[in-house]
Amino acid sequence: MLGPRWRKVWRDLWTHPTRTVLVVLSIAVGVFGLGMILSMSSMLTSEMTQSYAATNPAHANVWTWGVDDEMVAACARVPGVEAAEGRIRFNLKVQVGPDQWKSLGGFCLADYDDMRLSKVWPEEGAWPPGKGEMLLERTALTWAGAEIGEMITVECPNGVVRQLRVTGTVHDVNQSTTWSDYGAGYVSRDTLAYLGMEPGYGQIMIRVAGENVTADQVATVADAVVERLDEGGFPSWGYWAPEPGGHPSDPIVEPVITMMTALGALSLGLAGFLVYNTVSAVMTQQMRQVAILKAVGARRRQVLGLYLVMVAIYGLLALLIALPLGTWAADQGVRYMAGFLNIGISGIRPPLRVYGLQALIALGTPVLAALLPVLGG
Amino acid sequence: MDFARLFNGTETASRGPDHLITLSQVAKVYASEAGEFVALRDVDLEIDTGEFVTVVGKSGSGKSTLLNMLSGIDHPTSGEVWVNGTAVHTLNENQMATWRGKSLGIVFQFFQLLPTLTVVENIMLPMDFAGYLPRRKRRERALELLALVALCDQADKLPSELSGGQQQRVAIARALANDPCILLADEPTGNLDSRTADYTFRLFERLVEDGKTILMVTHDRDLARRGTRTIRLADGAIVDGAVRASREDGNVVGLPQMEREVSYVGA
Repeated sequence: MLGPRWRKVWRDLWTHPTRTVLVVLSIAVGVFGLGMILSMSSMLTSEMTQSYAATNPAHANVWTWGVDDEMVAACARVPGVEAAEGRIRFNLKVQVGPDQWKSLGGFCLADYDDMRLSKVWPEEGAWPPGKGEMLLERTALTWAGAEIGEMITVECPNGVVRQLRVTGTVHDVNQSTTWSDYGAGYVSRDTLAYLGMEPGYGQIMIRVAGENVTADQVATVADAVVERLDEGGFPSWGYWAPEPGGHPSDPIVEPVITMMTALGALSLGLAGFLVYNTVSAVMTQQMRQVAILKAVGARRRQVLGLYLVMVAIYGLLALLIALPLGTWAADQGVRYMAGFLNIGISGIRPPLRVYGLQALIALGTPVLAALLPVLGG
Repeated sequence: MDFARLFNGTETASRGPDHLITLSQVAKVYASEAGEFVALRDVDLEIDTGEFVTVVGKSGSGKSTLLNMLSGIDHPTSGEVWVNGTAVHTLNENQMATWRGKSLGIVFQFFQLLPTLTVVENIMLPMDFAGYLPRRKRRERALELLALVALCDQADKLPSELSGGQQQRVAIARALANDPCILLADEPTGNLDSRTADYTFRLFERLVEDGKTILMVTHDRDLARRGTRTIRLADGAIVDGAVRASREDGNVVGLPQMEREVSYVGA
């Protein structure tokens, strides 16, 4: 059973219900904003990392031309290289209307049944692609206006126009038509020949040996591979190495999350000001009651406790609103971003520390904001 | 109902001066832009256990300041205040609150009940702060105190639902919550009609009979005369009644009116 002093706190809260609701909602908006961003950031980072790591991504992609399997094997023997794999890339145009064409990146993997680096996953339909067939990246199917089983018309850089049957879709986390108007299609070597394209690899994917590989280590090994290719008569025009351990889209996602965190913090700061003003008003209004409390034997600490608990209740009520809403919104946000970034989601939940942090923010912000007027009162 | 068992807090401390309350050369000076205002000047006062002391004087004579010195609500500029063996003038704010909660009951002119607490909760509040009695016993004691002031049936009402006289009786019950040996009352009947004031005064008389010591500020000279002693203040100084006159010397100040009705309120 609550002691009378705590009953006073509870009833005082509801003496001015509009004021209480307003303060609670203000704090809730701030906690919701920050909670959503923290949860989303945490879940999205985990999902991106997990999804990308599952492909066993290459640390560096060296651009060259016409490389054969023997040279790829030589690259794999370069000191510091854990694995090397070639990939054939070419540009196509796919017809999406009577006179409408879109750019499509063509890929021919070295071995569809034994991918070791930057793997792609069969999503729907046939696997691997047969002669005269193409698998489209899952985001490219609708983008190209195609359906599995239909024929599509492609035009090669050499001017050859061919019809290929779309026999399935694949999931390639490195490709997406959601953030670029550039689809991806995957063909076999037979189809490559059917299209009249050269069979040599133009992309050598390198994985550097060791744990917690650094960008400097990647650069050193990639330079050595470039040198080895030069020695073998395959000039390279550079390489692309994303930050090791991260997702290639991190540079896009991180500033967005930082900006949203700042907005969340700003709204929480505004809520803090409102709490400060409200508690100041409450203290002014209750000055006589504080004097009575002291007259009947309340110590300063007890009086402080009453009013700090009152604002903590504001925070607790705000938390009860903001926590589930923030988690739900974060889940929706992650789903949207996962679709945008073309990553798979495994239903990761925010870690407990994110919930703890939200509780700390919800309870701590009003208590901090109230400290000055309460101490002054 | 035997109300005497509600009150055990009449024991006095052995430290300090011999009297329950001793004020020694107490002065209180307020500084303002207009200059210094002397509210109390070199007040010496002794009060013993079981006295019912009334304090009279014109407005601004220092009556409330005197009460504030005793309750520790205000500190003297100079001098010493001893209450039940405690040097009140040396206590800090926290010590003061703890001491006040256990040793004093204060009754105000305007009742000063907390509006969002029920009658019984208002009475339980001082026990809550002082940690007086086990938690489960507090409501029981509060109800007994309400019986003392004949308000048992109002226990779960809010103060706003009671009349002024009823609120004052609740305030008296609250003042008695922690069984203090001393009750300080600042114009407790000032906001009551004469019938209710008399009712309240008889309650005080009964408490004195039960061993409480009461110091009451009042403007009502008729009521003041019913105390065991009357102190008269003028311009911050006690002009009469500072020291208890012995009954033997036939010079008792403000002889008590002993025609107390034994049919106490609610008894």
